Amino acid sequence: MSLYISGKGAVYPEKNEPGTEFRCSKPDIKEFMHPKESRRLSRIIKNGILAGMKALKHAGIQKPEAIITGTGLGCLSDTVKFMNSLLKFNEENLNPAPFIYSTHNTVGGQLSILTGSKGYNSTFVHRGLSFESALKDAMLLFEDGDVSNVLVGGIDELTDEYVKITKRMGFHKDHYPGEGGAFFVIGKESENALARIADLKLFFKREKEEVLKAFNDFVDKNQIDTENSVLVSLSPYDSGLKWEKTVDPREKTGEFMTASALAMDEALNMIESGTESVVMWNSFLNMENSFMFLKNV
Amino acid sequence: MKRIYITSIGIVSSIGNNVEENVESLLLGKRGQGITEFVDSDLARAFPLCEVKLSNDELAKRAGVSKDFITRCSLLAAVAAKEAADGAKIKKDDGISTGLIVGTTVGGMDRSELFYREFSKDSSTGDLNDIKCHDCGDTAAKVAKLVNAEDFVTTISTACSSSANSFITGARLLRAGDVERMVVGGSDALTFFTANGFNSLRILDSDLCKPFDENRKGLNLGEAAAFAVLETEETIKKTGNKPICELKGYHNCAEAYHQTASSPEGDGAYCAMTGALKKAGLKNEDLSYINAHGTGTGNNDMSESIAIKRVFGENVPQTSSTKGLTGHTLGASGAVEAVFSALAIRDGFIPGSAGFEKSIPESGLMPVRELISNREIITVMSNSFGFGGNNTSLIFSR
Repeated sequence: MSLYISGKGAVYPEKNEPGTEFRCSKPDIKEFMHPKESRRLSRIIKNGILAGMKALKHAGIQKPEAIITGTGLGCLSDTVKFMNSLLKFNEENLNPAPFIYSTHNTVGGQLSILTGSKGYNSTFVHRGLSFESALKDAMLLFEDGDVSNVLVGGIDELTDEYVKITKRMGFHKDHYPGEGGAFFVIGKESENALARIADLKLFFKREKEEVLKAFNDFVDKNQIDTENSVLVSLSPYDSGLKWEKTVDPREKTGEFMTASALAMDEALNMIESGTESVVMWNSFLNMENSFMFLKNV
Repeated sequence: MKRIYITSIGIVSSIGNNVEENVESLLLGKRGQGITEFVDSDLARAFPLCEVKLSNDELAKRAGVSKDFITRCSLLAAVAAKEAADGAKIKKDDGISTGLIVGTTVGGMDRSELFYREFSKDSSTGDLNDIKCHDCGDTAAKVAKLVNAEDFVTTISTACSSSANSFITGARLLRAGDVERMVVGGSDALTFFTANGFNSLRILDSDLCKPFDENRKGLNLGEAAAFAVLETEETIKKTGNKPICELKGYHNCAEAYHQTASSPEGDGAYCAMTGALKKAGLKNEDLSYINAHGTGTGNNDMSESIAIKRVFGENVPQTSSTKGLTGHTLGASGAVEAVFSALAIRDGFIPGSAGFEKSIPESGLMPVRELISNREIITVMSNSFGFGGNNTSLIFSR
């Protein structure tokens, strides 16, 4: 089945000073939610609402038939806030709000409440493949025959604690940590679509040789003319193939578990400005891999 | 459309360390509540908790896993997933592609708490081994390797419906032909974080919980892991496994009402139940038993029982909540109750709804109080509802 992307919405981080992580500026969502209602929402939730609603607006859809979200670490700032309060107040008289909003499916739940979408709603939390798992699930939902459009996205946020801990762990050696996310409307209609999702493969083996072989098999299977395609790479490996251009979006977004959602937004921007096809290769911290093939419609 | 069968199950809960121990407790109506041995928290000690009666070392020994399995979530999952995988004779390189989906709400939070107590005082301290498995994907990545299910691996977190949703995505992967066999389920360990979270919401009962009772005061928290092996007819031709039951229907929908509360009319529950019946191609009267979500909180039991009445009218099938026995095991509860539904079909019984005495006047729902045994159970519906208005119903059939 051919699936098309008909809308996109992204929230990119910025770099405030050289040598530091990439952070999103304070999200403004008053276009979508009254400030009284949104004042308790953390940045990831507001950014999720912003990206999701932008994507729907772009596609001209008010109420998606399903919402599928990917997030590597979920609502970190609410998790930290609740943890701090229960240590500080010794487990007594705690404010439940940060606990309520710390749940991983808060972004998907809030988008359903905001749009009135009462369809399928799921959230994937599988490290560097959280966004791709969500996208895969959206594709499976179409095959199960239940929907005509799905809002799918990936989002994460960083906190000071995350930056300190991952620094001690030696993560993010080659890239600065980042945050942000993007949502997309996927459907069966090719008319006015931004691009076609020609193929998506999630690959779980980690040995370098196996990964390289799987990537080359993916290129062969889809008969990709690499010299006339852009490679958007979030992988440490060189494919050994010749590309029109290779782009590493982490130079603009920093590195985080759902950076591939922003990478897909970048890929769509390139297709909008004339690129015929884009191959995406994601491998967060060299763990699991995903390969995606996007084509101009 | 390809038919999907459960060919093997595995479980570890507060009422048993394997499938047969759980069956025995269900038949005896044995409740798992007690005082915690493994969570260091004053609050947790003040409430009954349904704890798995094995230490982390004992869990590791039972699953035969190394020190890589650091979190209690991954250890519980290892024990239950291994029982399910062994029962289905899943072997490395046996020529059948196999995947794993784990549902969980807080993953490695038990160890993150240990880390954070130190780190919050001085950010250069805290054992990094305790925080490196914080993310929810850690359990699935390790268990997939343990049970040779590495052809598709992912993790779902939709609050208390997490592991029920792993059955839906698992079934879809099989139908699409991405893999031939799926291990699906979920795991959640008791943590300081969740115990305090539910207490801050004032929905913990300081006594034994009473699902669907007029005087219910809240839920008892529990921990568990449960998994099932899903195979298609074609896979069964290769494995020779005998199905326990069929996954006949499923439906998940958002209520779009409130972040934590269910609507008073139970719209989300109504949508999940009717959607699953439609997907299964079944009529209301085809159901032999409903294993309800039935947490024991004022809000859930009111809206769920009203939704059940709205779906079934005067002809409500036999209904019970097993959370009076196991406690609410959060992300694992959907899989725990899917395993109980399979057992009800396999062994022909309906577990009693422990703690129930008097119906909720607004719905009048009368759950099964005592065990019903020697009963032919053909079709079971299992409900799981979570924060964010996430509602899932699964239907299993003989």
